[in-house]
Amino acid sequence: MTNKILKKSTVPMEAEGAGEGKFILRLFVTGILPNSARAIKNMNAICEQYLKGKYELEIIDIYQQPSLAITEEILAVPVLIKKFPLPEVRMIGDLSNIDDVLKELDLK
Amino acid sequence: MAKNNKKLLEEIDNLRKENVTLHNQLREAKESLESIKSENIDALVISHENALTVYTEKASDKPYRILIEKMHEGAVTLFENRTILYCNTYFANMVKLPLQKVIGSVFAKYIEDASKEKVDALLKKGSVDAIKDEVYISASDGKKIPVLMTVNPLSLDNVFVLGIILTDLTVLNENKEKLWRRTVQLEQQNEQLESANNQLAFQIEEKEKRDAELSIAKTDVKELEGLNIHKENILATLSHDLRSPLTGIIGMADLLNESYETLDAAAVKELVGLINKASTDELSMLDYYVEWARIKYASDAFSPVKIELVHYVRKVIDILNENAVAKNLHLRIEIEDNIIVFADGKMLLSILQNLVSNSIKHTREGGEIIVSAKRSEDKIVVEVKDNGIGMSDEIKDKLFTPQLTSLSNAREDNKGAGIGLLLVKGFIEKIGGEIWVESTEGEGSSFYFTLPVMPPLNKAESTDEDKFTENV
Repeated sequence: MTNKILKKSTVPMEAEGAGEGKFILRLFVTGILPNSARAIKNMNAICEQYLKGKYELEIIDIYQQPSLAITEEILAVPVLIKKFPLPEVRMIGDLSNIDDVLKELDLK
Repeated sequence: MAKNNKKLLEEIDNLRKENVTLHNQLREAKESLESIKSENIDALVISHENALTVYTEKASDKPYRILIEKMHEGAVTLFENRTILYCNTYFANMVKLPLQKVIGSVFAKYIEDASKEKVDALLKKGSVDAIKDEVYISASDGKKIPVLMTVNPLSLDNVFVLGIILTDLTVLNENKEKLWRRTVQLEQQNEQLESANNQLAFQIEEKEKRDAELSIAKTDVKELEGLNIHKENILATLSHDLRSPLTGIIGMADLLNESYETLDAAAVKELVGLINKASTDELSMLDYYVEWARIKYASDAFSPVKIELVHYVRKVIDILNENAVAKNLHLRIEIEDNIIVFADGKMLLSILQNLVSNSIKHTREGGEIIVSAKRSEDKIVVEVKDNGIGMSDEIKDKLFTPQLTSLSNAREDNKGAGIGLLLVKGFIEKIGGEIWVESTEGEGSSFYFTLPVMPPLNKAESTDEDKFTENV
C-alpha cells in the first residue's frame, strides 16, 4: 500500500521546460462534479497569480482518460500532482485552502 | 576504532535520511486519508488489472444527463433491435408524444416513409462509425420535420446501443428558402437594372451623336453664312465698279444731249473726250471681270507651267507705266533673269497688276515702287514695295477680306483693284503660295507673296515661255 503512494514517477516526462525550474502540474478530476469543478477553478487562480509564465498545467478527466489515471496510480479525485520541480508531491481535495497548496508547492 | 566510528556515523546519517523520507510518506498518507474523510473528494479510484473502477457517491453523470435533457436537440438511444431505450424531452416534443409513450417504442414509427431507406442505411453504418445525414421525421400528427441525424455507436457496460442526435432543420431550411428567393429577386432586379443601364447608355450615345451632328451643322451654317456675305460683298463691289464709269458716261452724254446747242466747241470736245475715256475704262473693267469670272468658273483655265518671272513683271510695268508717269513715280525691277517659277502666266499677270496698281494708287507724287524677288528654300518670295502712305493696323487686318470694298470706294479709278486683293489671295493660294503685307502708316507698304519653283510631285513638268500668250 505504501509503495503505491510513494511516488517515483513512472510516467514519461515532457522533456521541455523540465530543466528550467518550470512547474509541471497534473490535475485529475471527474468530469463536472462539484469538488472537481472547484479544484479546477482554484488551480487556475493559483497558477495565474503565483506561477505566471512558469507552469504547464494538464487537467485530466479520469472518465475520458482512465489509462493515465491507472498509470499515475490515483487514489482519489480530485488530486493535484506536482511532477516538477522535484520532489513529486500530491494533494487530494478541492484545493480551496490556498496556504496549504502554496506550502506544498514550496511557494511560501 | 576510527573505522568503526566512521561506519557508525554513516549509518546514523542514512537512518536520519530514511527517517525524513518515512516521515514525509506518513504525512502524505495521513493527509490523503484526511482528505478522503473530509469529503473533499468526488470519487475513489481503484486500479485493478489495468482497469479503472470509480466509486462515487453522487451520480457523476448527473450533469450530463441534465445537459442532454435541456439541450435543444433530440437525443435518442436505440437497442440493437431498433427500439428506443432512452429519449430526451426535446425528441418527445418533436414527435408530439409524451415521454412514456416514446420510450420502448419502435424508432421506425417516427421516420417518414420516404426517408426510411436512408435511415436504415444510416443506422447500419452508424453501428460501425459515426455518420450523419439529412432525413425527415414524421410527428404523431403526420407533420414532416426535416432533421440532421447523427448516429454514433455506443457500448455501455457491454450493452451495445446506438446514440442518435437529431437537429431540427425547419427554421434553417426556411431561412435558406427565404435567402434563395431573395437572391433570385436580387438577380432579377440586377438584370433589370443592367438592361435599363444599357438603354440609358445607348440613349446617351445617340444624344452625343446628335449633338455632334448639330455642332457640325452649326459650323456648316456659319460657313455658308460667311460665304453668302462674301458673295454679297463681291456682287456689291462688282456692281459698283461696273456702274461708276457708266454713271459718268451717262451723265456727260445727257449734258451733251441737252446742251449741245448752247455749249461751245471746246466744251463739247472736252465732254466727248471724257466720255471716250470713261468708256475705255469701262471696257477695261469689264474685260478684267470677265477674266476673273473665267478663271474662277472655268477651272481648266488654270494651267501652271515653268515661267520666267522677270518677263511677266516687265509686262505689268509696261501696262501700268502711264499711270506711274502721271504721278511721277519711279518703277524699278530687281529680279534676276534666271528666276523661274511654276505658275499660270495669266494669273501671275493679274496678281502683279493688282499689287503694283495698288502701290501706284497709294504712293504720293515722286515716290518709288520696287518689285524684287529672292529665293527661299523651295520658293521664290516676290516683294512689291512702295514708299507711299502706308496703312493702319485696322486696314491691314481687313486687307484680304471682302469688307475692304468700303475702302476702295474712296480711291480713284484703277484697273480693278476693288476686289483685287481678295482675288489675288485666291490666285496665290491656288498656285500653292502665300501672301502677306508689312506696312507702316505714313512710310509705305510691302506686299509679299510666294511662288513655287517646282510643280507638285505628281504633275508633269513643262517649261515654257512659248506658252505665254499675251492678250492683256
